[in-house]
Amino acid sequence: MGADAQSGRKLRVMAAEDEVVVTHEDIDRAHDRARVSAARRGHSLRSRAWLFWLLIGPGILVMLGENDGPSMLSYAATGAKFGVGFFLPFVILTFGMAVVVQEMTVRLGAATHRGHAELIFERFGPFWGWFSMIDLGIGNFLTLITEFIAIRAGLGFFGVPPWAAILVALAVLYSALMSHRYWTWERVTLAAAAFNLIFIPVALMAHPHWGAVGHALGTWKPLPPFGSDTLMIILSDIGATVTPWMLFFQQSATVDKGMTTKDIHYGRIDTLVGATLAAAAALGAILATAPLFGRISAENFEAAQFAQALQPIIGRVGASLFALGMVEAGIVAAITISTSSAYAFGEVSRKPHSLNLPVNQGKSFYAVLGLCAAAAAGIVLIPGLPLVFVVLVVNVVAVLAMPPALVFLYLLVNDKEIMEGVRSPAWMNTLAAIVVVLLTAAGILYGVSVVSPHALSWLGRL
Amino acid sequence: MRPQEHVSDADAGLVLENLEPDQLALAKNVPVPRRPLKGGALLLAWALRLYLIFMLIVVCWQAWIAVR
Repeated sequence: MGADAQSGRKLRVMAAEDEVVVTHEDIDRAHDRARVSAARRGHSLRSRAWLFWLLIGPGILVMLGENDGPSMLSYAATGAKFGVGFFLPFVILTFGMAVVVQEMTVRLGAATHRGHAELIFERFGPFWGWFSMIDLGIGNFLTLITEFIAIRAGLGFFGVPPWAAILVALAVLYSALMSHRYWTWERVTLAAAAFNLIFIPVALMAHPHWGAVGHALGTWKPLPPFGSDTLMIILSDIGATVTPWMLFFQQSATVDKGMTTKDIHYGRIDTLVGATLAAAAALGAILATAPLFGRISAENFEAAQFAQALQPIIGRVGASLFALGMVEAGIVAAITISTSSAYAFGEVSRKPHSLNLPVNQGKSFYAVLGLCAAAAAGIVLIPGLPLVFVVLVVNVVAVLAMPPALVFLYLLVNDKEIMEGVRSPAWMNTLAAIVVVLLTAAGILYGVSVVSPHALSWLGRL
Repeated sequence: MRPQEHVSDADAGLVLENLEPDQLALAKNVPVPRRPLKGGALLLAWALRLYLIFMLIVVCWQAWIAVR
């Protein structure tokens, strides 16, 4: 038995006549964990670096995955509409909020070895479980549609027809699954996600005014005018960093990776590194499109149109990189979001759900994953659908759905029966409560702006 | 969830040595005990649920106006 089991940890495994039943999934996971155990035995810097390499993944993937098609479009619109100013530090703040929230999912997954959907269903009952699943299902499907819109638009910049763009995206998504090993899937997706950083060189090509950048980061100025446009961008940028699918994905991936409470420290670093990289890419997108400020109207812009508008400023190479960045953002998010749907479905239906499963043992898992992506991709190819509205509202819907999701996360991560010794400290609970209040307030302001725009003007004068 | 049919001694040892008991795939068939929401938590869950439903109606209304 492992160290924890030998030290008297309660055996909750279904053990028929003291016989532990082992599955294919367990063997694959044990191979990964054996490497972690071996790395942990070393004390050199090299061993630590190797351990870090083995344990990173879910945090970076979730953060770079959330830098998806609509998110990058939101950042691009932010730069084009407001230039360099308030939104630079604001976006960093939203990633800070994401770190607070996502760190809790690492602890929850490592302590319970259960996915988020599974815990809500079992702990609070199917009534609340189904509400959460409906939120997740609707949000994920709408977001998946927008990923394929971004891919279509990005490849459209190079003259690729929509059907070919969608086929390429689906081929990449399905090929990432071919190994039937969590570890391989994670490394392939991480390699693809690293391409999100392409927005940084694109920003450099736009020659940002570094003095203005420093001033904006230090003072949060110039402030944008208070109005419904600004509010929409605020909500959109928040929805670009904190969404319900991230909670479900990172917790399930932490479980599938086999992380335990001993790995929480590295899980935190993983999340922090992911947030830093994603924030850098987000700021890159804002700075890249900031030269368009005052020159164009960024209303309802798609990826290809931003790339075309940028071409006179950053050249054909820069514009091509921008379009490719949009394609990458869409593909990586399509992979992670469809995986989060498949994990959640497997958890609540009690079907096998792991990327370590061979296809014949995880038919429903792979079917949900593949069908969600294929259905969203198919919708994008239907001519005449008003898909631009989906792009506009998807981040807003994510912000609105976060407070109810965060309440369950808060309750679970403070549940002493399941969290053993890794419950949230008081300061972490305070930060989480602040995030809930901020998100709810942003949602209420959005509601006011739609129902009574004059009331918003009145608020702006205060 | 099917047990692996042919598990070598090496694989069995690897699993037992490196996975915590409740990490095993079949361990997840044992449900986590129920803890129904009560008091303030129940109130908050309902309040935020109603908030979400109302706000989604607002979003649909905005989309409807935009489409028209």
